[in-house]
Amino acid sequence: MKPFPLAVLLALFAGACAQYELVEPGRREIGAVYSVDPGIQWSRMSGSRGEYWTVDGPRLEILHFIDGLKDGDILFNYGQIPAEQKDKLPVFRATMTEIEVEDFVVDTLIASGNGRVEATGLRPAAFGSLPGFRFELAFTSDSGVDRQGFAVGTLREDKLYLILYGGTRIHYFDQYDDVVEGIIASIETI
Amino acid sequence: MRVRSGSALALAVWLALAGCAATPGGEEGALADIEPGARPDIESDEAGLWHVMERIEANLKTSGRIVDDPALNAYVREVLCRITPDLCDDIRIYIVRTPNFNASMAPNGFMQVWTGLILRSRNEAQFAYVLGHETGHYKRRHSVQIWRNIRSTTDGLMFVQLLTAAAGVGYVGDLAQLAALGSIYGFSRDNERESDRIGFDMLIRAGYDLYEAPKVWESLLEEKEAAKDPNQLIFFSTHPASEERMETLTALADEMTIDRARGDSGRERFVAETARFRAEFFLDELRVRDFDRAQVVLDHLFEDGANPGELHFLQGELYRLRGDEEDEELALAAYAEALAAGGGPPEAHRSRAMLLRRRGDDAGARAAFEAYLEANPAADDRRMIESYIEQLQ
Repeated sequence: MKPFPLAVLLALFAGACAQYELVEPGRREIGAVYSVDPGIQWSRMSGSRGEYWTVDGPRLEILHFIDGLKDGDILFNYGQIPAEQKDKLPVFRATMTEIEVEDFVVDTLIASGNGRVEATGLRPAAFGSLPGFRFELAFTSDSGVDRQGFAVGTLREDKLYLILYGGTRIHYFDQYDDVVEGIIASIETI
Repeated sequence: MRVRSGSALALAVWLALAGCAATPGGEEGALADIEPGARPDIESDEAGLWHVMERIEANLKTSGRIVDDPALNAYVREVLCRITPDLCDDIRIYIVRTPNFNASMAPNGFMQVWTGLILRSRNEAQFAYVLGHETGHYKRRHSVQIWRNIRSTTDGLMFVQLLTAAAGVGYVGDLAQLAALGSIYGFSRDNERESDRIGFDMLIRAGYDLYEAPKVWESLLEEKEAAKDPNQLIFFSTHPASEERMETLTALADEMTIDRARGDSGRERFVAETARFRAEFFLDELRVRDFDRAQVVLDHLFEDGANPGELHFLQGELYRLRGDEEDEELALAAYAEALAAGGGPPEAHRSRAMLLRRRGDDAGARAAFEAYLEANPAADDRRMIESYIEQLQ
């Protein structure tokens, strides 16, 4: 979807969809640790542990900034698990290695009802000027939609900073893949 | 109408109560056996039930949780056809990846086999008993019996609406919903006894040892005792189990084995076909994070003893993930046993390395990471491990 009509739509529905806000290209801070350049227009919604961006809707593609997870925090709950069953979700531990963080993301995806979850290619990767890591993801949702994604992150001062990008394997992951790579390349620590 | 996942469990409980109340003697409302290849008359109430089940099956078929491994599916089908050669052509099997013991048959002929059942079955006879028992419910059309009894009550319309709405949900994310929708549960004690007897007939004709059946319940009851949340054991919500049941099954085995040779457990064949999944299915159990319950499952696997290197590694993972005070030491000891036994996964080196690194044993950690890469040259996380090795120089 081209940026201009999206902005118009968002302006039109601003009253009804008040929880989304428009993100314009141009550097902006994510939490208190780093900033990025969005590259294109996105719709942004804030969550309890960061924020997420999308263009076509989170079920099609989602760019999730998880900001400073601490010991005992869950990664995300995209609303599929009722509040009373939240203990089904795995929690982050400050002692985790990158290998365990990868397992933590996989376990969260499984607990959220996804199947055939695979994480591959765990390797060191820059997170701005910080040492970080990256791995690729593939999984199938409970409703049978194949999804693809990747995670980039860093462990710093007992906290986890993670950027998760995911989209449907058909079309939407590829649609913004390059833009998201650009966002990651633009990370500057504050 | 979107059915909240909690209401599906309420539905299952309601069905259980309705089922017990509706068929007190077991004989009342009993139906003829299902015929091979038969479909209900399109204007019948049974056809209505099939229609709902077909929608549920369509959702299930495309779920990301279906295990489509051809060899495993072929083996499960082989066991089913061994015990019910006349009905097996009518039955579609779906293996669902989930750490819970369950199998169910829907009245329209789709069977779910959960991977937690494959993990916990000690041999083919135990596995076949559960499949045969479920086929017994299908053969005797117990679900249709309940469907009819429920529909004739004043709550019947609400039930039909709930079930139909639930079938319309795009996915079957909730386990209790999956179990409740995969069949119409709430079988009476007589239905259960009938299914056990039918299951035993099938096992005898296929040459299996009937005494394996009460052992299934024995193991499950042990697990239930240890479980943090016994409600997580879905099979019990739909199949009441007790010491009495074990005694009844043993007595039934006595009655039906008399003057016959005791059958085969089929252990070797079962292990040969399922061993390659054991570790990944057990690691699924660890994700549930009920470690006492998982330990019971692992203890049973240890009793069978196949591939001790792998078993000790899984024990190490249980301790590592549980992470209690003594667990680091226990985990390291388990990994050492795994490596001494051999034949286990190379991840034993890697898990050991992570723990050694955490406790500051840099030299030990480095050596263990190196051993991991040597044992697993195609390691997918090689670059990460190499960076650890470099940091530990």
